Amino acid sequence: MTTAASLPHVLVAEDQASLRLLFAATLQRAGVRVTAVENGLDAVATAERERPDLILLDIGLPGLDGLSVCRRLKSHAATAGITTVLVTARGQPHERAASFEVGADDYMIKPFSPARLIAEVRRWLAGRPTDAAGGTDVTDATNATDAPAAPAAEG
Amino acid sequence: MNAPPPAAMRSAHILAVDDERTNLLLIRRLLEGEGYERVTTIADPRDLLPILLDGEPDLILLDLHMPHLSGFAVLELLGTWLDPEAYVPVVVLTADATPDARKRALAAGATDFLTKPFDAYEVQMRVRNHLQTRLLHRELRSRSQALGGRLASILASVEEVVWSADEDGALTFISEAARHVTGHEPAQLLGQDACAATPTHPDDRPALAGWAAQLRAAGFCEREYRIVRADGAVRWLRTRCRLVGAAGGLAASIHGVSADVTERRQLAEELARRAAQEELDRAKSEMISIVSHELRTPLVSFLGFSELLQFDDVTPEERRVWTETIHNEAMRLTTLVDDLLDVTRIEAGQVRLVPRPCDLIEVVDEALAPFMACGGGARLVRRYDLPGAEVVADAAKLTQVVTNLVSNALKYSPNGGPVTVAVDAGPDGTVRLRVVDEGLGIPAAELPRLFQRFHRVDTAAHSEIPGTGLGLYIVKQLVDLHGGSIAAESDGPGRGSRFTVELRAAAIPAVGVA
Repeated sequence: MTTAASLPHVLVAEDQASLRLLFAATLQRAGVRVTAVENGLDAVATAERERPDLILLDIGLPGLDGLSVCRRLKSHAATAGITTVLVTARGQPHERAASFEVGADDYMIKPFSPARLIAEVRRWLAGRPTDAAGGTDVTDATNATDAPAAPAAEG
Repeated sequence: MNAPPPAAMRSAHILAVDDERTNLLLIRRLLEGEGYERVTTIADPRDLLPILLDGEPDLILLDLHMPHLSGFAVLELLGTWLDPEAYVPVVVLTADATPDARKRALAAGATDFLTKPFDAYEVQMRVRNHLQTRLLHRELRSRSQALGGRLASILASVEEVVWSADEDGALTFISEAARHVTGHEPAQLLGQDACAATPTHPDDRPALAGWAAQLRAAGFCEREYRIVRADGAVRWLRTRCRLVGAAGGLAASIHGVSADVTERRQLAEELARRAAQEELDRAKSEMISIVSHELRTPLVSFLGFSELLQFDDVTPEERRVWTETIHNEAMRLTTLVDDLLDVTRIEAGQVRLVPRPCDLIEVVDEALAPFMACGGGARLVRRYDLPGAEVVADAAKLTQVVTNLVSNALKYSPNGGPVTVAVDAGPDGTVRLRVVDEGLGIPAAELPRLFQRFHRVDTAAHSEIPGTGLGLYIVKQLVDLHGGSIAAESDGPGRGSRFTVELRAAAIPAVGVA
């Protein structure tokens, strides 16, 4: 059995309590350790302190919004290498365009299917296309996270 | 002996009137000897008028006792024949040295009085002095006319009406601009009351009353009001006037400038209308973003958790928490939809009250029951200091008011602080409901906009709490429909909020009535 500390670490920033619960329940099933925060400033602080392997950032965060958080993280060497995914709303195509402008690695749309999210998370952690995600297991994901962690340690 | 008079003076026209031709000859020789070039002498005062018609002389030497027309009579006639604005010195030269003659002549308008036999030097010097005064007077007059002309041409090019009035407000001067501003001929306005010359719009008469008192008290007065122009058009006028106290021989007077500010006001109104429209547009797009966010969140929950519930590895605890979350989100969605429908109905004027006498305390208790049943109950403090809180109200709508205020108080007290709900007697026979919390509080700048539709308090702490900005708007509308009032107070961020609703008490206290 893999210990909690060795699991890939995913940071979720989402202001709605019900959705934080939904993310946590879903991501647990992707075999990762989840930290959930409810605003942009906490997201920045947690990302800088804990250097997670993946960050899911809601765009509509109070205080500092998701786009600003992403821009900040991508402009600092210590956090620039963390795979950062912005969570946008369906029917807001401009949010997707804006996500890439601030350096996001990918975006996901709300509402989402938990099964689909589990597959996507594995892909993001492995840095591989979704089609291969079905075969990804926890151990593979853990190995994959060593890559982005290494340059962070140098910086 | 003495220096000749200056050139300007030598060309002066001097007229001597005396029935004694030797006297005339003597005077002519005397004056021409001085260098005066235009000396006219007449022996018959009846010849005076034709000479005056040729142009006023610069000085007249006049004998008193003459046949046909005495010097006194000539003085009287000169008073009417000569331009009153002109200054023509008349020097009486007479053998009559009686004090009575001197007094009469001076009273009749003589400038000076010399007796015969005269001293040539004295006559020369007096003539020179009086001519000097005459020339100075003429100079001043022409300068003042030039100034007046310049002022008139300036005033003619000024769009504002420039006017003067006496102390009682009667117009003594009004510039040409009055013609297009008021539609009246400026000359016809003279003598009329400065305020009444053009009729003031009936709605603005109360505002204009008391301007005279203010002018007297402060020395200055400014008013903006509408007038009805001669052609019936209503125009906005801004009048500023100043009271100038009596000084230097001039009576106290009022000087004012009145400008037609209709276009400026229309522009300001248009700008205000546009700003209001922009504010509405901004509120609408904010509303759409809030509502779409608030609608989306429960839907994301429903879709996500309903799928998760079908997973094979769901624990009983997860099942319980997720179904509870789905339920809570559904309740939230219901509230949002209800609020939106309420707002739509209120704004369409479709909300009809069913007012019945009811006890506010019973209404409050009923509204609080659901809170007592769940977590909020422990934080509620009830304080009822009124035995019979009878009001005539729609109990269901009033329940909604209490529910919204209490749920807000609980929601915006994330510290879990107490919420006091108090009912007591308010001022002027009202029944008062107060909901007091010790939560986030409200910045002073936000208080005036608190009850606006879709307005949400803009602080970091508030934005973390979900809401649509509809609750207080609905509360205010419902209280208004009841003819009541609602006010919000706060000592500032972090220091809690107080909401006070005042409703008219039912007419007769229900004492001893079942």
